[in-house]
Amino acid sequence: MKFRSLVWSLPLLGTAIATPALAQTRDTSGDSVLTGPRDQSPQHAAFELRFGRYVPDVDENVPGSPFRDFFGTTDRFLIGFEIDWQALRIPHFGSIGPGFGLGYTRISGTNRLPADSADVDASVSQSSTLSILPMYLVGVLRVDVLMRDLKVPIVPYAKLGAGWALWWVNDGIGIARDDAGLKGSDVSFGPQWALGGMLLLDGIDQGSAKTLDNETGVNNVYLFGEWYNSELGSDSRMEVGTSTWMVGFALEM
Amino acid sequence: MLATLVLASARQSEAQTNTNTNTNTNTTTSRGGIRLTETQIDRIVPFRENGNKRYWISYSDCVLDDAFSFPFNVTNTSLTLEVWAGSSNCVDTRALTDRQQCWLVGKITPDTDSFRVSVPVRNVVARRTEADDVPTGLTADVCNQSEEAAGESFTYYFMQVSSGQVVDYETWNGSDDREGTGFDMIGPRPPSSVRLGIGESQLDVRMSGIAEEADRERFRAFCVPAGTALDEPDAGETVLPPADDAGTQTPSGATDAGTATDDDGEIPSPAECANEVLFQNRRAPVNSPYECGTASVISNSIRTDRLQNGVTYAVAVAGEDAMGNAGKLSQIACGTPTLLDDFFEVYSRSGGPGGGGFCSVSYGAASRTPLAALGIGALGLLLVLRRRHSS
Repeated sequence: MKFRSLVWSLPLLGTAIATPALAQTRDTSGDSVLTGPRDQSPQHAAFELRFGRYVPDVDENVPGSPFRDFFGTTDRFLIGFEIDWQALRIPHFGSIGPGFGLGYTRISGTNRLPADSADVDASVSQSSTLSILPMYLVGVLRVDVLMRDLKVPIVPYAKLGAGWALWWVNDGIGIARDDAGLKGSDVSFGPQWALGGMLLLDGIDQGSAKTLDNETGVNNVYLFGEWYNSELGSDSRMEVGTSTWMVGFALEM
Repeated sequence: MLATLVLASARQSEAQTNTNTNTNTNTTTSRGGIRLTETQIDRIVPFRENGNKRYWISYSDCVLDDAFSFPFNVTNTSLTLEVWAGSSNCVDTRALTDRQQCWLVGKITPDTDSFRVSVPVRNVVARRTEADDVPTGLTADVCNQSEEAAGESFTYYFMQVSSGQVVDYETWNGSDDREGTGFDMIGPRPPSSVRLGIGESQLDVRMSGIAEEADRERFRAFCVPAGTALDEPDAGETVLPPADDAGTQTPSGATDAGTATDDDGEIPSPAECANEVLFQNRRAPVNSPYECGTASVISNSIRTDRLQNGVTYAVAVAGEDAMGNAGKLSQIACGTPTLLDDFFEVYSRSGGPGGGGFCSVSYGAASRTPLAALGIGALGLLLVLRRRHSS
């Protein structure tokens, strides 16, 4: 619990660190801290299309391993997106701002005959599906000094914030209910963080990159990869977070 | 007399070029003394939607004793108006010996110059090419006589007749609907094989051996509890009488070894789920209370609606075309929905927490903290932006 309290306060800490930079509206080169280098259109935001392995840590909070026993160990995947507002630019360092992300994954497994069933030869074809819709609000710090000043096309970044996920279980007909009639759907939440790096793709074709910027306002295109960790659950909530890798494309605009 | 024959001859050549085409987009058509108001043509059974052969006659239209109603204006009320249906020029072939593609379906001697002619669809479907007069007393049995899988198109001919000669006539084959007029009594073929997967309160019907048919629109599944008798109250009044097919077609799909076949080629349900409602190769019932699921034509499985656990059902599938014609029932399979354990039941029994719905928020400290952090963070950001703006 202490760790969780510390985690909640880190976005505020990040904001406090960035505050002095706001006193400057221009860096020493004369470029606006909000518009970037003169040969690019203004840059305010980033958009990510995300894909990664997602196997929720359901069995962490439960005696035994009902998730693994029911769904097996096959990898499952998530698809999602994230939108960041690069609110503050720290000259010769990077940008910081809030971001919002949303994803979706679904896991299916065949329903099982009760242990005391006499009809052991029945061909069961009905499935349960666990659907998870994770969302998060994070502070995003992107260190683009390597890319901007040193022309190294790598932008490391860190994300920290809070996540929550809607989840529901369909038993093959509708929302599942347990033996006591409790509905098989809920919301789980908790902290999450990510560490990753983006590879700038503009260098592949500088001319096209410039044209893209002129016509659409997309300043930079990246490939990214990150390690993503979320703890979405508790003693009273199903643990639907995970620790996994994510990859995808990112645009800055 | 000579003038009448000349008029008939002139109409004949015009009809030959206009048969089965209708380029007239006006609301009324007229040739001299007879005028049909096409926009006011009506029928007892509601018209199907455009694109579903709305002016055609389906099997259920026939069984429900549908009738078309045609509004006319005439200048000479002493002439009898005969209505013919035909695939060739019926004005030309009213003579008894030539009548193989034309048959009489309605007749009226009007007493006013504005009237309606009612044409029962059974008169059309019966196709009595040898009859001298309009058929009467037709039963639903005539609906089973046609064996044309694609149906039969025809044109309506409305003829004013005097002394056995056509004085004037009008034709109609569907106004602005390019599908024209016709009748189709046959539904598409069923899958050759049906297998059942077990579920809780549900059965998964898997079809195989589905022959390609252009007019098949969907599949319907029928689930009848074992032991159901035909006269039970649940059978419902909307279930149409079983088809009385000629029985010359061989059964489609596998049958259980030793299952008796009646004279119509209909095979009863297996002994495990015997009932008096479902028979393989019998035409599927329409508006049946035993219908338990549908699937599109591109699917090869049907998930049934909620069924009763522990009850054995006889399950069969039939195809259906765009006009609602149901085909013959497939092979019948027996299945019993059974109580199963889904993931959430297994998880809860293991002691897993959570559940209760999306709104089941517990207002403890742990749940308030993230909201508070987000709120404070947003406020901090706002203050920072205000200071930047002022500087």
